[in-house]
Amino acid sequence: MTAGEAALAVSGLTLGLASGHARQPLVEDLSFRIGRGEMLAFVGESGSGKSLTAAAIFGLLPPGIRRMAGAIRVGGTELTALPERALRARRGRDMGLVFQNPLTALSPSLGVQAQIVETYRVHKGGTREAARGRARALLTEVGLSALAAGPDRYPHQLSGGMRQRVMIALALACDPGLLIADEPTTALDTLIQVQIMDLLTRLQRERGLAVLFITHDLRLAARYADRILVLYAGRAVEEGDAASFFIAPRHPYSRALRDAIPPVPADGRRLAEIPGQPPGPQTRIEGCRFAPRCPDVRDDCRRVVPTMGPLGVRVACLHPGAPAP
Amino acid sequence: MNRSGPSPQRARQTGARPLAAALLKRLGSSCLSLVLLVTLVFFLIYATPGGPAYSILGVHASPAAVAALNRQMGLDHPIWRQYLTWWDHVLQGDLGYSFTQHAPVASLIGSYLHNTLLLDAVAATAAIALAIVLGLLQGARSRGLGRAIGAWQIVGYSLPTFFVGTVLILVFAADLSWLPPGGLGEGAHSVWSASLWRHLALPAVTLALPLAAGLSRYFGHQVRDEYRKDYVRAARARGLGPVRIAFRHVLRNAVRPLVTLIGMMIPVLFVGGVLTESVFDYPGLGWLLWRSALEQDYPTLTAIVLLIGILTILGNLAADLINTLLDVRVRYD
Repeated sequence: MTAGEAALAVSGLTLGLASGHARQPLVEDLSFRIGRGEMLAFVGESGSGKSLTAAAIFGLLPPGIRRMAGAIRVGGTELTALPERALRARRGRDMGLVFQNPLTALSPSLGVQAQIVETYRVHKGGTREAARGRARALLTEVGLSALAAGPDRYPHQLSGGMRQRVMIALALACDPGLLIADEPTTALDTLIQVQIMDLLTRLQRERGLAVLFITHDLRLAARYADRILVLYAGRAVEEGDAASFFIAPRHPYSRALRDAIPPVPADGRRLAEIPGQPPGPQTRIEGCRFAPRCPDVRDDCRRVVPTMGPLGVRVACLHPGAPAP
Repeated sequence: MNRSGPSPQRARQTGARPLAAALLKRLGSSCLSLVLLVTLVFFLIYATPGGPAYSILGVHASPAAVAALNRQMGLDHPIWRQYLTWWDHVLQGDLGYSFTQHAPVASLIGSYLHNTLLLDAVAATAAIALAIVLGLLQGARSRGLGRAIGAWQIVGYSLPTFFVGTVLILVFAADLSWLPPGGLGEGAHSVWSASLWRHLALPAVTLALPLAAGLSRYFGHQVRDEYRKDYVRAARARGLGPVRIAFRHVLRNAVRPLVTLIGMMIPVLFVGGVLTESVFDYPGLGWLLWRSALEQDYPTLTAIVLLIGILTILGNLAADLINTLLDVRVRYD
């Protein structure tokens, strides 16, 4: 993959509190890229900086949080240099966002078709009729043909799974090249989870869509994504091909994550847990941020900050495990 | 994957039945309020110190004259019979006879009611429009402008009507001579008369100011809660602009409590009207109430109290019906 082809390229992204009270950036020196038709999964615990990174890409950081460094290129355009107005024109048009809870993320007093029509017309203009036809086609594409054919419905009239399909249709209203799905299945039950993930991968394949899939579920990531990037306390610790990653994670934190997945091992071992808590932004840790909890910690881990290294060797650990065969 | 997807038949199938029941229930409670109001006003008259005859003839009237007048007005009948007669009169629109104005109250009150409704409609419209714009701005911005609006609300809400009215007269009537300080003659004025509008401007502003401050403060909080919700973030992430998000998404969800509040502000308008209309010498119900109180014109006073009570009940009913209809579009489709 060459630089020109990446649908999303983030480099050196660092996010911190605007007030400067935090002793540690919330996201530090994060770099990754997603090509067309590719799905990258962000895996990490709450507070690891996954959703914050998504907000930074959209230029919608919560008040009090600031981008301190780094570049964000979507479809070849550097977004961080754009004024708010130009950035607004790109949100929804070049990139779509799917939220965790589809009931609260859909506007409650507007019909779902009306919301797709609105988004389409804000960016592409055109007649109401054309936009309505577009909305129907999209609803059919995400598997809601009955809804596409019938009268418009309010979000509360739909089930959770249908709402999430609507959310996806809405994010795709203007044919963006990039879709960010922030925990898109967390609020849904298991059966619907599988349906939504199947839908996302189908759209990714059929539309050549670049997908950033944010999740705390390593199994979902391994099953659906092409590549996985593990975040810990605001830093990327490992990135790799999804299949081999699951077999042989190299970073001790990734290994611990994998070993914490049910079912309980057949040989009678307890399900592994990671002792302690991830550090908050108020805790300053020298060296590797995982060192205080790492089972394989050595002396130099507490002095040297491990980095991801060049593309290819993507594990931020001074003493990583062996790569997958 | 299942291409056809789940069907929207799961959508709630509640029909017109619960809606009709809700409307009937609301109408019933308004009727009950009206009955209670008419009864309460009856007992207010009944409890007038010394009885109505003394207030008509004066405290020095001879007992014989009082007894004669009581007989003539049917006040020697038992209370239940007087109560039924009162209902009979109310239902026929007979609100009694003003002994100070020497005219039936019903015919007297019409032009004042007309002027007051006009003033209140203008003041309420201005207050609501201002409250919506300020509330949306305040809800969207937590600092700077939002704080400035918050400070204005406190001042606007707490400044007394007579003070604001006097300042407006001093500035716009005395100093600038743009508008008359008052003195619109009695009688009903046509909506097409320029003089009416010139006389109406300052009292309307005086009335609207505290209303807009109170409404926008409440509405601003409502809006701020809405802005914290996911759907606003999602709308931003779709590239919708701030004005569109405010008016098409946030307002839609914050408007229902506002409608209820507008219904509740009707008595506030009338009470504020008493002072405002007196300060600006504007011939409306408030002005009439004030004059009747000075002249101890009890029939006119009770008629105004009854009328304001009825308008308040109807206003609240209208607000609730509007809310139900707004809700129907969402809930009962």
